[in-house]
Amino acid sequence: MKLHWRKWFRVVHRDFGYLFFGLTLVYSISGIALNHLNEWNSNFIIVRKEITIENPEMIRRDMTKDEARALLEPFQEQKRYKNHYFPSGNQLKIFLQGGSVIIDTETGNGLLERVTRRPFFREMNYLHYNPEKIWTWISDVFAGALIVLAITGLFLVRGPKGITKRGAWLTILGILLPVIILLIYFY
Amino acid sequence: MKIFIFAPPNFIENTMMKKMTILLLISFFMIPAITLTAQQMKTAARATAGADLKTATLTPETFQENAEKMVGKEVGVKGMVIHVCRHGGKKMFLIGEDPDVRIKITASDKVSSFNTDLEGSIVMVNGIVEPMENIKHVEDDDHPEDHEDDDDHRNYYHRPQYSISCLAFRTIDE
Repeated sequence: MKLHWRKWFRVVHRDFGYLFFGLTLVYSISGIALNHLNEWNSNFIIVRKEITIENPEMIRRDMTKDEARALLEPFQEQKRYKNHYFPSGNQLKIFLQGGSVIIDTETGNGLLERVTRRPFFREMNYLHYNPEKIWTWISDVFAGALIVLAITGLFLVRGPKGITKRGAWLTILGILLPVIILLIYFY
Repeated sequence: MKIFIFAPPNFIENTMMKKMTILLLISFFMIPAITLTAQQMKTAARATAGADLKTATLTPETFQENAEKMVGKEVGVKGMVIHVCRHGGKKMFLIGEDPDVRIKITASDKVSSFNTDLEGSIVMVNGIVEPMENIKHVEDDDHPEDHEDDDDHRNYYHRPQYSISCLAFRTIDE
């Protein structure tokens, strides 16, 4: 029996393409987001507001939770109070439900930070960071599938646009790109 | 011969392909069931681990003092979460009375990540003590001449540091 390998390659490439469409989007979208983590926080929406405590002399190292809560009243944040501590000599940090306040105990100037989860991207990033053991298996299968997709993709088309002509040049270009980067920056 | 792997069964002409299609479809639809079961097992495991949390817990200060002797052993530490990694929640930091003594808690196979909502919460953590490698000394690199390197200058950051690989944790209402 003759093995129609090209036909099988096409079948595998087509069906793997359908099957792994979702995972490809998960990894590519989160990949872009994580690449630009320093410029854009894709996990959280952080809103910062400068505030001033009118009476910073109220702030003492041994202040109670109620006293710390009272500091938040002018900003209507007292109900979100969680805890507080002094990270350094003249700084007070108050943790809120979904945020925090950091106050200079000498000047009373502070920064109120509200943190909310960024929908969609946070889920994508969560998956990208390989959260659970089962996801290790799924992502390993996906990685294997990408290799299969890459190899089968080389042989989909015959003729002048196939791997023997145009395809060969483009494939070489695609391999050269990481090699050049490695030669410049790594070695 | 037409080949359909994921096509509806009535389009499949080949018997072998039909079997393969059914097998693949069954496998595909079993994924959510397996995931759900794994999730349930994990929840149960965490609940059990949470129930087994050590009652005799260390403070971050006592942990730091004794960590060297406890490498590889399971310990319980209680402290306030002051920071959870915003990137993947793979680590968090605890303090006790002294805010300068911070213990790094890392995620593990048992606890995959920490939620940022934990910041400000008091938690009890059980985990395995691990030495931290590549500790970046807190030095002013721009002014190396300001850095004294004598025995009196061995502060907290110049000592070997240890983290805890988290096996289980729970928040405590205080």
